[in-house]
Amino acid sequence: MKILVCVKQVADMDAQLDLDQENGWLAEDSAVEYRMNRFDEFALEEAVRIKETHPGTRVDVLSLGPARVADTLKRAIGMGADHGIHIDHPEKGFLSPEVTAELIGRYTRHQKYDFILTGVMAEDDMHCLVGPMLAGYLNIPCAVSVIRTFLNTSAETITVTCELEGGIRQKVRLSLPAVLTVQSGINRPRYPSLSNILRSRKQELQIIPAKELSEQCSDTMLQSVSLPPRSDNLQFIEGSLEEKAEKLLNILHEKSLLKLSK
Amino acid sequence: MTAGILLIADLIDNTLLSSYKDLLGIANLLSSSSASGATLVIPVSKPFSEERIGEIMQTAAETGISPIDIVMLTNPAFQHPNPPLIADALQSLIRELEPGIICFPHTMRNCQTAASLAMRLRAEVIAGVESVVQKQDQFVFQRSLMNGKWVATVTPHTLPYILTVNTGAFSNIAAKNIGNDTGRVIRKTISQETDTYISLDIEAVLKKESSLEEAEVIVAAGRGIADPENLDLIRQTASVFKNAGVGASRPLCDSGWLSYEQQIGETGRQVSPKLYLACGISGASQHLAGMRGSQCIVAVNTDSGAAILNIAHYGIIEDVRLFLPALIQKYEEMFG
Repeated sequence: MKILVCVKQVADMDAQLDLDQENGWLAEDSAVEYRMNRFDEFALEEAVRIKETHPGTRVDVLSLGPARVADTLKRAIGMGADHGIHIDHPEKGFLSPEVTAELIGRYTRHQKYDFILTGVMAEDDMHCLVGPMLAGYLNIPCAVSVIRTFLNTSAETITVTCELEGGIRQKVRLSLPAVLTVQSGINRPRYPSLSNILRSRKQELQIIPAKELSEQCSDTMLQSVSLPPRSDNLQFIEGSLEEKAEKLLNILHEKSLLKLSK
Repeated sequence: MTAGILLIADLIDNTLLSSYKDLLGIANLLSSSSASGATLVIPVSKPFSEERIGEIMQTAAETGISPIDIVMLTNPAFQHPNPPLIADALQSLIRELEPGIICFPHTMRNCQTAASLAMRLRAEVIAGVESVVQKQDQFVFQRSLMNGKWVATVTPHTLPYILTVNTGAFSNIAAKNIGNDTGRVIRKTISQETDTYISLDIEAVLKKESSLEEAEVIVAAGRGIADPENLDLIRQTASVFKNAGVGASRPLCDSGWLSYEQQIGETGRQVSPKLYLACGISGASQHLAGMRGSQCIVAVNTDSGAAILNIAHYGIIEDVRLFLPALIQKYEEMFG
């Protein structure tokens, strides 16, 4: 059985993000670090678990982006993927989901993957579109927001549990091949193992220049990126640690929310 | 081509979800001389009664846009959400009605339907629309990037285009009357059956009621607490209030630190307490969807760029692991 996991490398958005308003993305000299999109970590872990329970399974991991995505692919191999594919694309900023899906699709359609796993969304652009667009491109079924997978013994179908909003879950059976987009909490992603880390250092990635797959460049809808306005209502509570605590308690006391023992 | 607006309602168990009101709201903002009329598409497993249809028309008149046409698409498989079947059914309907804009409530499965339609129609899709502005004769949409830290301004190039619309973003628009006729009701039976995607079951896994929804105050923990041991600080903080519950952002529940029963957000509980104390929560839109209606939001975070500050009333830039012990100690001094 062959599984493809599509992962995206994203900027660490817990840190300070320097928006360059002219190029509409992170400033060129930004000190930001990059890591694997959280949701794709869950997808990769799911693939590796399936491999562990189905001997003879191969897990390929693919990522689209500039040279730095090689680090994320190596981490994926460290977590247990067998082979890494880098679709080398020069775009360092925003790349539309349509172009992303098409490029991945153009690589994938010539391969024979039993199913394709990816995260439900990318934390940076938050579209939730690449997975289903890829399924559309390949003309195969898709299920999104998957929190459990169960491969049926004939391996012709897969049963998944999808999470809907408000704590409702839906069980769906899909025929294979299919695309599954995975929601967080499906599993607990592992840390890379030492032996796999060593393997990731020795092993070559398969590099495919994006231009070889498609010359298409997207006519982007993105006009500009800006910082959201802060509400006029926002007040920062300032001072030393103790002063802030006191000021907050006074506000809360005024609202009659505190338990008063006397 | 006079291009109307097609609104696709969300249903579970043949019950209309309230997100259709946001669709009516955005249709209101998108209606102009170049867009004639709005149609609400309701995929049902059993057709709605005349009375129910009347109620929906009435809601549209009061809170969105009126008149609207209603198209009921019937197929037993619509009892459960079914993106591929909806996409099939909509593809035919779109060929017939030729809308200019197609709108869904923003959920993961609607993004699936939207993506599928986008591929089939070669149409552009904008997911997670938060606001819309008209610039000359064009509509310009805004959506979040980077977990809510940035805003993208986006304009489609061609008609038709597809939107998924954030719920809660368009639900309080003053109604607009665009005509005097009564809306038409069209009923269609959908016969296509997909066998590559079969829905087997639906279940509600969270308890229907939670004390969180009744709590006056919610102290909510996010990844900023760093360690599950620090949940003790959260619980101690909750105990200084008369009526408080403990909530969490999803990543903590994913890691097993707290039960999903306490998760606040799009896929968890929606709450609107008097006070929401967000401790180390960055404010990704999936979380904000669960608490933005809170009366007073206090955010404690080391990141002065955190998206939660965009909706907070008070911001405290501190490490929550240092601030909460100080808060608890001050409370003892002042009120204990």
